[in-house]
Amino acid sequence: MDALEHGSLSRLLDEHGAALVLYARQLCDAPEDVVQEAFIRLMRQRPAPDNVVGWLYRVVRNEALSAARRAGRRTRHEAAAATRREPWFKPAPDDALDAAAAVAALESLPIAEREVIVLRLWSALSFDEIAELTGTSTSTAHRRYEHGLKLLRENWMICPNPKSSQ
Amino acid sequence: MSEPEEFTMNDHDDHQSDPLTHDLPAELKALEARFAALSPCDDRLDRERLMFLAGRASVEAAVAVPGLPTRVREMTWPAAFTAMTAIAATLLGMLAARPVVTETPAVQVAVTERPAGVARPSIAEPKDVNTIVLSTADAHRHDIEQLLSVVRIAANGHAANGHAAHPSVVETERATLTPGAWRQVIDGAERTRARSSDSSDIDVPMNQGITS
Repeated sequence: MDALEHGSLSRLLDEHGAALVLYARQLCDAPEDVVQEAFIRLMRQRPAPDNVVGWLYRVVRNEALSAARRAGRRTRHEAAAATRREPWFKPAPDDALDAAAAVAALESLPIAEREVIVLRLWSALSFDEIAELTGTSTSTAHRRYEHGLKLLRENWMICPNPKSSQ
Repeated sequence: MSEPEEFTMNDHDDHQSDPLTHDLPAELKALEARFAALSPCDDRLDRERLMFLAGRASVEAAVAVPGLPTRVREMTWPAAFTAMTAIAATLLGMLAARPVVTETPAVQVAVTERPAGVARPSIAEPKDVNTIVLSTADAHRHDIEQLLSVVRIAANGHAANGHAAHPSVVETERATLTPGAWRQVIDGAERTRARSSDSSDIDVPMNQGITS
């Protein structure tokens, strides 16, 4: 298999770019840089990987964890300032769920549960794929997903949607 | 025109078809659907820059030498430069440390003219090798080689007795009169002969043993 074509890269970027950035954001402070580096590495691959999306998620995860280790050397104040300002989701005025509240609820989850929920809901990966990516079993991935949803529901009960309360 | 290829992880991409999802309670499934309705921000990536960098990376990968890892390719020229610099430095060091070839000093024989009336020192019994000086008259003697051998023997014996050899005697180890010294002797003798043809102290014919 030859290298990836330019049109294929553009389509990949449209279909998975935002979800990859959202996933990388759960693990590090510079998700855009990590995703960009993953796409560049994909274009250097000779031949291109068979499962392009799975390869991208694996590279993004490894790069994000490495970036998080590098960022850990900085002060906590700098890291917090770098991550707090950027929105995760598009604003959805017609939707009942407020994006900022959803982010706050997601940020309250442990990283293992949050990673599985992000991969499941916005990357549309199966539990088998999530398990392979995170290095766990399928049942563990599913258990974390269900536990994360329960935590989200509990947090939602404590801090309900500000729009719906108005 | 062919259909654009789909980039999915596998065939069961739709997570609603995952059998494990059906195990969730209805309340959690509703919450899942509400969260899934949110769309991640897609304006965080600099698309133009990413496409440019990806295209450049693709070209670099295409022109790269197949079979060699990227790290090896990057290190080829620096390694060659380092190796050539090391070789040049080694050769320069060897050149600087090369032993200096010195010329063998020419043997100089002091030629002095003995004043008239001064008796010639005995060559058979040199009393002190430190005072032996070859004179012009000695140079004209037909037994000059014998005289030098006597001086050499005396010097060796003197050194063997614990005395330091006289520098002038040591220098005559290889001493035979050079053509230049012979010419000097002849010139001096001719001048002396011209000044006083009848009172010459030289008792050796001038043309003896000399060929022009």
